[in-house]
Amino acid sequence: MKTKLQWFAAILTVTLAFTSNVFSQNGSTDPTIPGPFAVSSAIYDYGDTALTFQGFPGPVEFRGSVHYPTDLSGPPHPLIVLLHGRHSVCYNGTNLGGFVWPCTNGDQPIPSFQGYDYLAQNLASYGYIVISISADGINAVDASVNDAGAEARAELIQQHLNLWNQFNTTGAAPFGTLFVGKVDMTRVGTMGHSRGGEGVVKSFLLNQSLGSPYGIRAVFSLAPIDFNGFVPTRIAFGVLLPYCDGDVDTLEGIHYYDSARYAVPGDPTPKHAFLVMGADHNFYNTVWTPGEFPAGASDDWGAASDPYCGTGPGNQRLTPDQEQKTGLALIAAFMRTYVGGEHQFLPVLVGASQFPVAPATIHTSYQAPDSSAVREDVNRLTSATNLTTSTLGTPVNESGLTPYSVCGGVGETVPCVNGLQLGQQPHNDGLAAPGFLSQLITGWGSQATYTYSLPIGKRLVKLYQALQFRAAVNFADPRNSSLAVQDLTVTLTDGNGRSASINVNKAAPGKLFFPPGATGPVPRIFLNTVRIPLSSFASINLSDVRTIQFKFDRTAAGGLMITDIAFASPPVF
Amino acid sequence: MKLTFRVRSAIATRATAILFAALLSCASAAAFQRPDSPIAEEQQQRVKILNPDSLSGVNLLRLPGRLLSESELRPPAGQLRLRVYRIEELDLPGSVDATIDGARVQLNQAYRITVFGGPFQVRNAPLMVWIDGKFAGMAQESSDLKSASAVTFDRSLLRNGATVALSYGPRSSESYSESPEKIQFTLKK
Repeated sequence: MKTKLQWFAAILTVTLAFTSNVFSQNGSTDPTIPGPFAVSSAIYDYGDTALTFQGFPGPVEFRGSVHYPTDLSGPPHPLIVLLHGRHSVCYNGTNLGGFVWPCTNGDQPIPSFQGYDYLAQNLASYGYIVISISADGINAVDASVNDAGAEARAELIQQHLNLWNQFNTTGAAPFGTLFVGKVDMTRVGTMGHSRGGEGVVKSFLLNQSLGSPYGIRAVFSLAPIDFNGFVPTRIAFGVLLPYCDGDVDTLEGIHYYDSARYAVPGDPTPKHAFLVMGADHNFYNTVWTPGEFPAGASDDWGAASDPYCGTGPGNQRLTPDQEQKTGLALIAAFMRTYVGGEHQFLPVLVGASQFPVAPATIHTSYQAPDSSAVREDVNRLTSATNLTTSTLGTPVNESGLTPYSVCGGVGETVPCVNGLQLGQQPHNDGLAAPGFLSQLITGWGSQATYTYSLPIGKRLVKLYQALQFRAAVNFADPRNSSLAVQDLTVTLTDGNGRSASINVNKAAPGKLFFPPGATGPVPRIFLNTVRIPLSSFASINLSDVRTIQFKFDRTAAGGLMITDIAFASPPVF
Repeated sequence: MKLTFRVRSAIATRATAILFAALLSCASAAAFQRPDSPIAEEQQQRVKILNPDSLSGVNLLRLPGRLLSESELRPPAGQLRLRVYRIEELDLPGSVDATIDGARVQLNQAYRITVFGGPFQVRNAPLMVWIDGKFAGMAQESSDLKSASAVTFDRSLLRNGATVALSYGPRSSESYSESPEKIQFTLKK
């Protein structure tokens, strides 16, 4: 006879299965396709000066938009919160108004919060309630507070969550009882752009410090700044870095991924980073995009002459529509997975397949949760010790690699590569000392090898989907041919002495690309995950793998940065 | 559909409660910051305020100041087109306990550095003031975006012949621009 606990677990499982699949679009893997539900929208507005935050030197508006499925029947709907970044705050016709809040002299507020309507519309069509909140009052004076407004942005999000909790429980003007019982405050996802990207990380920490009254399950930072060094642990986290970002041109948002990935032993949550080639900072917000709003919009990339990011012939810049499609694809897939519980986007989120956003190219980095069920770290390369001893505790053998050293870790005062412009080493660039991501800096001038042995108890690699490592072509190393893709051979050997080899450029085409651009912060050394499906090694016994060898035999010479060597699988939930 | 509704008192009450709880939890929140967090390190490079509550409610950017130095109007210089700097001394409402380079001090003045030029873009990357290449403060833009001001407590930065500069982000940014004139204290301090 089943115990009460067993019955409860069974009921809970059924309930979760129902709610997690209720908005699924029959398994389609293109998140940009509109969903099946009709969408309604509204703006709620309590005034330009409705909010004040202790220690913040100015009033803040309490205003936002909501996109929601017109038919709100059925189970409560997950809530997505969008927060824009720093931008001019007032306008008058086609001119910028005064940079002061509230607006004066007949100027009108710039509605930056409406710049993500394309995203809100899409998610609402899949059953989500999506709010986008206005933060002009914060933007106007956040340079005068030490944390650049991070606390104020977190407080603002919390105020909106409180408000929506009220809409969900007792109802309130302007919506009356429209949303009562319709908002699932246990399934919340947040997305912030630029300073908003730091704001949503801080918001998660604030909510946590308050005892987690709201179930924030996923945080996505779009081209964020990193002023305060917050670390997003124990939360599904994603960050988008636009390669041609001319505002936050340091791409310092990668620090969130780098600092979180080993910060908490047993962290059960995944981390994702997405490098979008050809994207700038502003086009993700339609109000900041030239031609889509009459004042204050601009292309933030400044060096028009750059052959890749500039505006000259042959440039590889994405149009605003193309760029917004990448944002839509990434954020929608991320939220529908980690808030909505859908599974069909996991292959693109972990880099096993490509997002359907051609002609754009997205390079994905994925850190699996810290569980032996989905991740086994072969070598974290977090210190010089890892040059000779792997994270698994076994000897590391190298031959012919030069240099062969670890650089760039926390506390390092010397950058991995000297003499580069700001922004060319995002993992090590920022407002503080150059150390953030420790990585192997190495190269070869003739055939070289780099070999790991797996100890007893760690040889059953068929549990995992892929062997992966993060890598970047070191453009400053003259052994790399300009604009040529690098390559190497990876070989696994089993206990019977059988080997299987794959060249990286076949398993993960184009991942070891020579970074493009020539001006200012480009080209960049940006480490992306190189993912090799273990199905590539199907001819050997993957239950008893003894060695992993990286053989640099595909090109005559080269130089790479390498870190985070691991076996990994998508997260399980 | 746009509707307006005022709930200021209820929100303020709720906000106060939440902020109080947030302040109490600052210690635990700090555990989620890297010890070498970027802006913290820059801000604390020279000066650490030990009793920030003493400055609660004080807007240092708007306090009346005594003019210590101001350059003449020059042609625009650098990517940020700087033309003029101004340095003012501010009397603090009360003594502030601080350390400068680790040495404990009591401060009664602060110094506001304003640079004129631009017009500056409202960006997400911080606008930062530098004196002789040392970080002096994050700058707040004026309403017309033609000036930006930062406040420093470190008087030792402000010496005759020092260079005043502005950049978006770190000093190594391509936007780093120096004021055409170096600091000259020709007025009685």
